[in-house]
Amino acid sequence: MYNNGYGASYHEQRLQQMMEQKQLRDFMRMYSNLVSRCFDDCVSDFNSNTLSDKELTCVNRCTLKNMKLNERIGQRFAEENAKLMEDQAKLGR
Amino acid sequence: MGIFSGSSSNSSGASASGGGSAAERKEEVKQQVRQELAMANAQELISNVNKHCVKMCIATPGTSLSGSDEACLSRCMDKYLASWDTVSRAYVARINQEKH
Repeated sequence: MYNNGYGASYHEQRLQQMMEQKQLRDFMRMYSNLVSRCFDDCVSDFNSNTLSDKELTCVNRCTLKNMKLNERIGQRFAEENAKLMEDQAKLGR
Repeated sequence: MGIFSGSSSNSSGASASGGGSAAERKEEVKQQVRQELAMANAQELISNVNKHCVKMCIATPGTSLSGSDEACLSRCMDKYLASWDTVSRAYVARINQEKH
């Protein structure tokens, strides 16, 4: 352990904090994009101030679909990334 | 779960002024971060509501907001917040579903 506060572990902690904050911010941004998109696609009738059943269903489906999309993209990305790393490793030899 | 509160709104005793244990201090920091996030989130939410509702309610800008413009904007905001709420529920439900 380091005695002064600015040893390596301090920087590690700072880095970790910053990464966590960024993650939270990214999450919040994704969230508000999601609401924005689903509202755009599903809601167009402003003669009422509550969501109709149709709009409610639409928003639910929109959320689920977008979440599944994100998951699928994440999976494909991981797969392609792994392939890329493998190819690079092969070239390196 | 209020719109502007974090998802775990049951954190207790974060208002202790004395230097508590490390766990308490950590909880205080978490609370503060949550509040700051909620503020930033609120600002972005209001900005989004504004953007969408003006686009959908105000076809041709006049010199002032007519009564129907105002009514539309008000309903639009209600609907946007309701959508926010619905998305929130669907999201959490899906996450919980995956855990089990």
